[in-house]
Amino acid sequence: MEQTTLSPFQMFCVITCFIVGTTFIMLPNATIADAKQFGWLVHLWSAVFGVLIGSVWIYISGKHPGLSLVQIFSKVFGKYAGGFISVCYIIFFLQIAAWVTRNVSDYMHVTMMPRTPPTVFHLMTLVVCAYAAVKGIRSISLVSIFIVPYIFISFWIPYTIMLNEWDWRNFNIPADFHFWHAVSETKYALGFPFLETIACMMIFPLVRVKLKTAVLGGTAFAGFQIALSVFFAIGILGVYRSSHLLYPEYTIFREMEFSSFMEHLESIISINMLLVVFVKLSSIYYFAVTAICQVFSIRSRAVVAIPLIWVISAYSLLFSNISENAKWIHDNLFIYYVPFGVGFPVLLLVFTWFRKERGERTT
Amino acid sequence: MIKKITIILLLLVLCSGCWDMKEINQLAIVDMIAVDRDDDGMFHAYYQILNPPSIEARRSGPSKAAVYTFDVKSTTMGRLMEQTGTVMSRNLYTSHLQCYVISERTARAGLLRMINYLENYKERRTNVYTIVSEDPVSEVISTFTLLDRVPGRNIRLLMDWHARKFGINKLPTRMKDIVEGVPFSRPTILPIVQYSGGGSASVSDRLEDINATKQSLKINGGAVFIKAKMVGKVNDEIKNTYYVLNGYASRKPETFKVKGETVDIEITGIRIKRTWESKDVLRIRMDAHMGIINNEQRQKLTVQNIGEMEQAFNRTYKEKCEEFLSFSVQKNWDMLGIGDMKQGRNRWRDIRVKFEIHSKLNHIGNTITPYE
Amino acid sequence: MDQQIQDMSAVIQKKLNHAPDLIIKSYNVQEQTKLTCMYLCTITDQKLVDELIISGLLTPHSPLEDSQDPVHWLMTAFKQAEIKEVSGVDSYVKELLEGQCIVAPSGQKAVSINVRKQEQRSIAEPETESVVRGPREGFVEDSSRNLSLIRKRLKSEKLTIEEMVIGSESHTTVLLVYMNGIADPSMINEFQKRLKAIQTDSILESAYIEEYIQDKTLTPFPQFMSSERPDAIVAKLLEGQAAVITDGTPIVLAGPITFFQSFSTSEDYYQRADIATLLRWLRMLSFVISVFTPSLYISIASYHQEMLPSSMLANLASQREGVPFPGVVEAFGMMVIFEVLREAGLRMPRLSGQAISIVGALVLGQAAVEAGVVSAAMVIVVSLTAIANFVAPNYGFGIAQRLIQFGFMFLAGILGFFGVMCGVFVLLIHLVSLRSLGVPYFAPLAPLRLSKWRDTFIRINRPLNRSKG
Repeated sequence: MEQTTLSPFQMFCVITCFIVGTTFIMLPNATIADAKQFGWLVHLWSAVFGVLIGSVWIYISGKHPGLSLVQIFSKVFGKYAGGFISVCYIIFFLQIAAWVTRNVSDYMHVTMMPRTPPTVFHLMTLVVCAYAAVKGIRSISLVSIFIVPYIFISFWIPYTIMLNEWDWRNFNIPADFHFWHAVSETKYALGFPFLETIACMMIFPLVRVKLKTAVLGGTAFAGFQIALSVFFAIGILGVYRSSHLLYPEYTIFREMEFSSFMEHLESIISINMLLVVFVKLSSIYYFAVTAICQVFSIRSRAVVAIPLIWVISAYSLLFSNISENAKWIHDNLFIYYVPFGVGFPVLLLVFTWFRKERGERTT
Repeated sequence: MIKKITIILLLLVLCSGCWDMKEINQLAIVDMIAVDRDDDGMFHAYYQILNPPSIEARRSGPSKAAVYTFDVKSTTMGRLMEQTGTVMSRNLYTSHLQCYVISERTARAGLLRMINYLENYKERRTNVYTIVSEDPVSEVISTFTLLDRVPGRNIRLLMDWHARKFGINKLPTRMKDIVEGVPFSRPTILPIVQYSGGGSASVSDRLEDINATKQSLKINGGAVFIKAKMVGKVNDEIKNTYYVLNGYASRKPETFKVKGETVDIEITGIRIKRTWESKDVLRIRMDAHMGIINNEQRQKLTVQNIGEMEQAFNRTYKEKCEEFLSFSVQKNWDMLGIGDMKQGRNRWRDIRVKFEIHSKLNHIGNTITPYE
Repeated sequence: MDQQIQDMSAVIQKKLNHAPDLIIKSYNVQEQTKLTCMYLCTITDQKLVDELIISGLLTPHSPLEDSQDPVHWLMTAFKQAEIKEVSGVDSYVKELLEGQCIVAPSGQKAVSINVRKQEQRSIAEPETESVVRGPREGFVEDSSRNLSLIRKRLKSEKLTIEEMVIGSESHTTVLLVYMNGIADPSMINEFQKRLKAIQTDSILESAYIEEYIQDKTLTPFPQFMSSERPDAIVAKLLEGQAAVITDGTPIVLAGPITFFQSFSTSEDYYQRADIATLLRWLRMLSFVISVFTPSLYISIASYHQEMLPSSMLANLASQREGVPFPGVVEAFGMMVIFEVLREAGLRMPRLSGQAISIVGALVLGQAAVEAGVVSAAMVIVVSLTAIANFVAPNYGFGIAQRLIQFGFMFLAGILGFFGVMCGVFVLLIHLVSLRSLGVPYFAPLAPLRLSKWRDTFIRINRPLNRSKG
């Protein structure tokens, strides 16, 4: 593990980037299609869920001070069982990395560069993020510090400009709203991105003060941002249109006109947004690399990071198109994420309590 | 190690790079597209392409044709693009499109398929003005325009100017407004373009003619779209009232009579408020300020006279609104969008609408007492 | 006795490879004592030698008594001169090479008297860093005079100077200067450690030292400030930095610096605070312009034409109508030609340098556009980039800008904005991972230190700035 500490603000920014990451490109279409004009509410309760589950993780991390996620596993479950679970998590991290990579190339392919082969985007993105992962979480988090405000501005300015297209009628279309039905329909929004955040437990021990504020604040802030952006998408584009478009947010950028001479700034704005995705991918890449280093006691991150480029870029070709990916997200993603985000942590908690009790009894 | 691999990767990228590169001088910059689907189901697309050397900033005055129109036809929309390859030496580039022209028969057949096609690819845009043409689209698109020599740009500026006159930024007359209007019961209105004069003005000699309106394009009336399908036409008066009563316009010129004499005013600061008096009665209240443009009354402008004018306007405009409503009911078009409100859903025809006009004359101009 | 001296002379002559400028003379003092003088006439002041030694020896203040040690007698005889006792042939040679005159009564012991020629140019206005308002003095090649320029400005007992000699052949004097009590002791320790670790045969310029002591070698960014303005260095010393004066060059290094300090000049502090703030922002803007303009042009002209306003696209299209090269090639070609011109302008004798700029401007600008070889827009882009690049107050930083600008052009050429954005991310990661003497390079932005902003992004009026100005 890197010998460094992260300030709460750095942690806050990493968490924010991690959650906003690909969510804002992937989810608005799905949640609006599933929950109609209440799509933005989905993201709000998901954020609440994220905060709740985040406090559980922080609690666990607090029970094992100074240890990262995989180190906690090997401490609690022993070398072999713990090692096995850690390997599961490593694969989980690599999968997330592969999906994020895939999302980037899909997004670029549909919105900007239809003729460039996806592998080029994969390799380019992964090389960049591998470099960041080798440089370490300190560099990644420092970069996220100014990416967060920068993106905040470059994201909300176009949205604010588009407010003149706002139409309240869009919230008034006939739709039945049943809370539990909506929750079960959109359960993937709980998992993606809020269960993925468990990966950040790899760097919890690096934050010495105010870990709780940073992590939970970041989760809430990012969740709120996503909800707000979906709210705007509904108000500006309407439920009908946004649920039929693959990337509603991109369409908003596209239809924004700064003035009559600067009409089409969509490429620069949406490329800017990729910076956030880069931070997310670099962090998850870093988590995977450090987890491998910790489990197999490897010193140099570079030795692990470089071969992973090929692994991840190959894995990212798993889905042959976006629809398969979207279907998988809709049907299986939440179930798949539950053991990693909830299952193992709860097991960990139970074991920790159990051990402690036994320890108390023996003394 | 890392550096070596990075360098090798970069070199690999270099060796094969530049897939999406397109040079500016290999682009056929499309300015306006006209689409028509004939009765045999063939799609005709007319692409108006800029001729860059003749519209360069340094050159002024009419020199050469600013645009060329290419006509391609195909049995499916998706292959129109491919067909252009047979007539054009450059890559069709539609990102800078200013305007779509749709023939009336195509519009009546429905635009949803076309919109689906347009929104599918990043270079095709739907946030551009769309107009419906009563005349054959080939005539409209083969017309050289004056002042702004690029016809698409000319139409766009015309529409922008039109919108500015209503005090709004953009009129909801773009392709995307049709899609956004699909789930609603209120129709969307697109402007109709008319071509005046016989024979199309397709030769740039026309630019030398002083009579500008002899052969030119004119925006007149509107085409009503419900569920992306054109269902009928309205005149300018109805179209403008539609913009006012639905809260788009914030100003508009009006004419009314006071004691038999004509008064032209401009109403500004229009605010529309809808309140439900009961389950079945909707009250629409309009508040506005007035400014005199032309006053033909032969009497001094007194407070009493001003009051009369306000009264007269309120009455006249209320009548106009009621006419608008009866037109809407008669045509079975929910022009006020009552069906999109919670109370009026699916039964807008049963709702009784009451209009209430409140106006205030603020600007009287320089001539307080008219010359007699 | 005589034999001993002669042996010694022979050894010295051999050691210096029979240097033709080695002068060895013998004198008889008071008939009975023989003194031998040795010096290298090329680096000694002949007048001093004549006055001080010859006349001093021949007409001594006090007579040499028989019982007295001749070395001791010499030490008292030349009280006014810089004099010290030396012994051993090796140290004689060392002293000789430093411009000392060795006066040896015997083979074993001698005195060395400083008769070094003070050959130096006078203090002049620094040419690379000119100011409108501010002192006109610049450093010179002599380290002790440079030190005097600093001392003159800092009459403080905190000023600490550590001398070390680096280079097995050049024996260059290197002075580490800092303010004791202001500079961070651990930083000074680190600095000393790195200076002492230098193993080289020669130090001819401060850049040699910079290369040895910088934190990271593989980076285009300078991690030390270099200046030939004493006032700038003094300001840095007062901020707690350390400076390295190298004998033989007027360029003095100071460090640690941060990225954003590269945008400030010493003149900022001689001007009104508001204009200084504005100028800093202007310089940062110029940095962005010079790094990104060519790559933005390439990506817009070859990938993202929709970004251009319609009328401008038509203009650009008609300009490029006859240009034979693709945009990327055109941009690379023009930038390379510009770099060639710039280099030519630097290396040419000053008079013909002007001719170069005229030829460059006329031939490449006007004629190339008229001949349809390049588009007018490209000439604008290149000139804009170049001019923005010249704004960089720190020359080394300007070089970094040129290097990364080419990198971004390459990325833009293969992947448009996506490539540029990847480059931006790598650049950011690189910048935040850099350190200058352990100080984060990208501070105070990352890590965030809001309190430091008042003297980086803005300059607050001194009275308003409660911490030390």
